[in-house]
Amino acid sequence: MFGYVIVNKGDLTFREFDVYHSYYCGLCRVLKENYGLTGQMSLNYDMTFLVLLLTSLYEPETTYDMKKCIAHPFDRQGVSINKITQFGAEMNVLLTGYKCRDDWQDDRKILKKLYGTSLKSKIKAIKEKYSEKAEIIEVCFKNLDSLEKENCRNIDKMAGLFGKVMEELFIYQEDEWEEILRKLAYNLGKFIYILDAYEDVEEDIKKNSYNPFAEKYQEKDFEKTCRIVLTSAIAECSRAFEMLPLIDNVKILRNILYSGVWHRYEKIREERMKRAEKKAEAGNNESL
Amino acid sequence: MNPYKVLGISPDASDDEVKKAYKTLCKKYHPDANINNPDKEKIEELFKQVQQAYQMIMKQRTSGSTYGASGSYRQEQTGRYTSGTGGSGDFFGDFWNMFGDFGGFQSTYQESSPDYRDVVRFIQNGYYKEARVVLDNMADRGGRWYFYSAQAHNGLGNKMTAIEHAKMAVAFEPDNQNYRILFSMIENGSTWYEGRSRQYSSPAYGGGSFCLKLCLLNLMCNFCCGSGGFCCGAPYSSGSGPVV
Repeated sequence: MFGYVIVNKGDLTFREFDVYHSYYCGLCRVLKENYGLTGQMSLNYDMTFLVLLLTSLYEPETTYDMKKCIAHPFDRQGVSINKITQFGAEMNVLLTGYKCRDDWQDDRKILKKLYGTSLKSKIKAIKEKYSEKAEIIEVCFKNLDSLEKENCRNIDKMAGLFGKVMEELFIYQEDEWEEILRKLAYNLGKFIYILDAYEDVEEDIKKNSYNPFAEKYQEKDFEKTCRIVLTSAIAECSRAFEMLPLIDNVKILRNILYSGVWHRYEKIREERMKRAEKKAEAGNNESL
Repeated sequence: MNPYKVLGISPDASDDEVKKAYKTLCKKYHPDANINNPDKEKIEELFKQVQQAYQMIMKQRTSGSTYGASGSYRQEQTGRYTSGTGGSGDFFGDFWNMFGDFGGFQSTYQESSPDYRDVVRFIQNGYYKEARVVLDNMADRGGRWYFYSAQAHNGLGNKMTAIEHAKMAVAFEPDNQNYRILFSMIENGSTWYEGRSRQYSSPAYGGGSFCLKLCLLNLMCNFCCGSGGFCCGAPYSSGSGPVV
């Protein structure tokens, strides 16, 4: 479910990519300093987008250093850190904690359970700091759990619940931008949920795991409908984005929302089409 | 209030120029920047005006979050679109406009049931939740029910359900052009976004990064040595591969 909200590197200049990467590195560093190894391992690009977006909106003072680290032991990397990075790290850990627990209940992934437990004490502190957010997120995941058990096939409902989770993660403070940020985050959350279901549908059917697309997948216009629904969600997200007074790094952010988010989708489509072609070829050869 | 005057820009200013002007004035009039200013109250008032002006301009320029807006809102929409936002116009405004104006549509499309007249009014004014309440209380569900239900769901962002219901409406009455048009519009509601998206190269090849994947692999391997048990990239294992 993570890792969809990324850049289309081919359309960024080297400088722009470095800036983007510096926020990723900044998040990594803050995660490590505050949440240790386990926190650091929860690093993902979706929260990097959050940090970059809110930094562009609020323009906090940002430090930029060149540093070496475990992942880059030989070259110094640009590292951008500000108060939003701290917030991003907290949201990162909070979401990962819930996601791990969610996966545990889904698939009994033992390692995920261990991971979730080791972060537990750190998550507790964050939950106390953001008690309202944590409560809402908790309720959303509980609802998702019970709807999954009922085999809910209403993708709008399911995606909407995850959208509500994202809303909470994106609100840094109560202000005039809250409404627009909620709309942006809600629709981004829907996009992520739907894309995740789309990506996992074949595997989930094989393993008999829950997937809201399990039946729809067999319909002949599944691909077309999926694309429309995904586009609609990210379009609404982008519409809200364009309302925000963003100047810094707006090219990177637009790259993500208009292009980068489609990376996994395009890759999956390609793979599925290739497989379908091979199958058709094999079928033709047999009949010959 | 003339929002452009408040921000000190021309009505022809691009979206980026509007945003820059807003940010500059925000910094100038921000309460934190004027703690010792004797004209503090006046500055606070100006700060509020700057906020309002920006919101007004951006609401006018984008298609906004509501479909099926009222007549006056539609008028603003047909004014102008800047390249920065490229809105598709308000969705149901276009739809209802096809049949003449507000009143025109209602007069050619007689709603015999008072229930549907309420639904139509709710939808045209963007009250989709209220439309849903009325629709959900109806027992009789034919083509017309699905026609309006699709619009209400679309307005609420329930795209999948909107598509399904629009399809049902067409299935009930295949010769009904209104139903077919609605279905087509729901399917093509995001053309402005697709237009902007096409300006980028294919993300299939540009996305992610070989270097970053290596970097994460490196990270994972390093943790492996220290924490044994967390290797095999367990926290990253999901259908989508490493967290890139």
